Amino acid sequence: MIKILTFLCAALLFLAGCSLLGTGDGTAFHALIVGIDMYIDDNVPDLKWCVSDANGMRQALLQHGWKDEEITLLLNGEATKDRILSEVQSIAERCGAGDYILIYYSGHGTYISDSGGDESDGSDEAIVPVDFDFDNISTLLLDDELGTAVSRCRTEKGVFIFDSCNSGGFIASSLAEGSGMRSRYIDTAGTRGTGSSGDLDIVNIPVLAASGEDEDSFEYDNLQHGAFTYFLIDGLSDLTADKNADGYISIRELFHYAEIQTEYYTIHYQHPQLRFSREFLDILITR
Amino acid sequence: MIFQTIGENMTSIGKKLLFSLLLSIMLGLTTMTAAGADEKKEVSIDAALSGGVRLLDLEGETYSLKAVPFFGFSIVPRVELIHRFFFSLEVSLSYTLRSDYKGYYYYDSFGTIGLIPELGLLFPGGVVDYAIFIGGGIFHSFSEYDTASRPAVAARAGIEFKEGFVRGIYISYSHVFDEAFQSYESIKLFATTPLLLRSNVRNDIK
Repeated sequence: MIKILTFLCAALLFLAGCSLLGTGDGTAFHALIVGIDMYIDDNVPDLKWCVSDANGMRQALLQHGWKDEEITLLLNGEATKDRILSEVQSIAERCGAGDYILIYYSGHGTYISDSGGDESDGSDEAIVPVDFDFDNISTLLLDDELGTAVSRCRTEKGVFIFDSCNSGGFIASSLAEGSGMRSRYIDTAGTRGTGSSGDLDIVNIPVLAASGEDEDSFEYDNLQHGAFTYFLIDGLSDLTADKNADGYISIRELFHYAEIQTEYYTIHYQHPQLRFSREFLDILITR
Repeated sequence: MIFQTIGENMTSIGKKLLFSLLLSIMLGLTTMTAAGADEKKEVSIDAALSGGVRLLDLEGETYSLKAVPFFGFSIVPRVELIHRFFFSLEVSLSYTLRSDYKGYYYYDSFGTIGLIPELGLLFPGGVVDYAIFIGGGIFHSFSEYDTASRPAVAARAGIEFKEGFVRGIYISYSHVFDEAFQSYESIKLFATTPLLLRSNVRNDIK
């Protein structure tokens, strides 16, 4: 019996030790980065630093081992609704079960009254593609459409990052004028609602949002970025956000770094949100 | 604060199991007290050191199986209800290490408090006796990012020495019901030694 227990003990130790530290296992990486400053419709106020955000995120990923061919970058005129949806669908179809997907968006955000009745809060969140027609809300890219496009994705590994206003709210309009702050929220006739919530629940991939459901997201001339993205990039540079000092930055680490910095910088106007449905689990963003 | 967090995270099944657990503890203590009055029944409180592996995400697709080492300490009071038939309560405190990073994800380290009431049988042997216990209870896990209580079932088997510092050596298997993990298994080895009380131990159990 003692011999059997000794054998079992050795087997347990072997099992525990057989997973040596390392990261690679053939995981394929797919990233889509979108930044829109210049909108076609004159009714949509242009932004100033979303392209800078997108380029900055791309550079930060490249700095941490991502390869250029793994990243699709859509800027300004390239970021039409059809193109964004097409790229998302393409990535979703290419993704294997253990692959990694990253989607980043910087631009205007809004919400409209939910027509499908599937939203508990009565609103559909939307991002605003470059070809958005102010008089036709069907040209918005709704969270439902994005969720449907991503739902074919077999993986749960990765992250969606939105640096845009996810909800209504009319705060800080006076602050936005002449203070170097611009809200990434647009208000159309269809945007009146009761607020919004995370509506990419159709997938289990973690979501980082720049602001709370009743808040706008802001960009700052002195940062030359959106506040949230600035601190994401800052957290990635020189492993600033590497809280546990393991040489890698995880999504939770990066979010918590950017969250604290963003709230402090915006004097608590902006409260970034994280949805991460898996307990104890964390996903690396650096390689 | 801790109890508030526990309450917020408790599922309905968890609440029922916690109620059952508390009931079992009360029953156990009552039985233990009653048994203490009966000089022929064994009553003991043992301490145990344990170590093993947790198998996380056994059924996952995106996140495949990771084997993570853990170690811990337990207090195991037990009472002989009837001849060779025992009620035991394993109160354990354990720490699970952070997993490896393969696949560009990992499970963070976490602590666990376990309350597992068990029923067991002791089979007489030559040099040692053989024991088997089966039970169910609650594992309360906590880490920087998550705190939750989860129902669990467990079984252990091992040998018990009739005398000496080490009372028993067991191998234990437990299954924690956790939707987020898909599956969460633990295999551990643990050795017990008498702690505060050991009375009426039957060396003549044959």
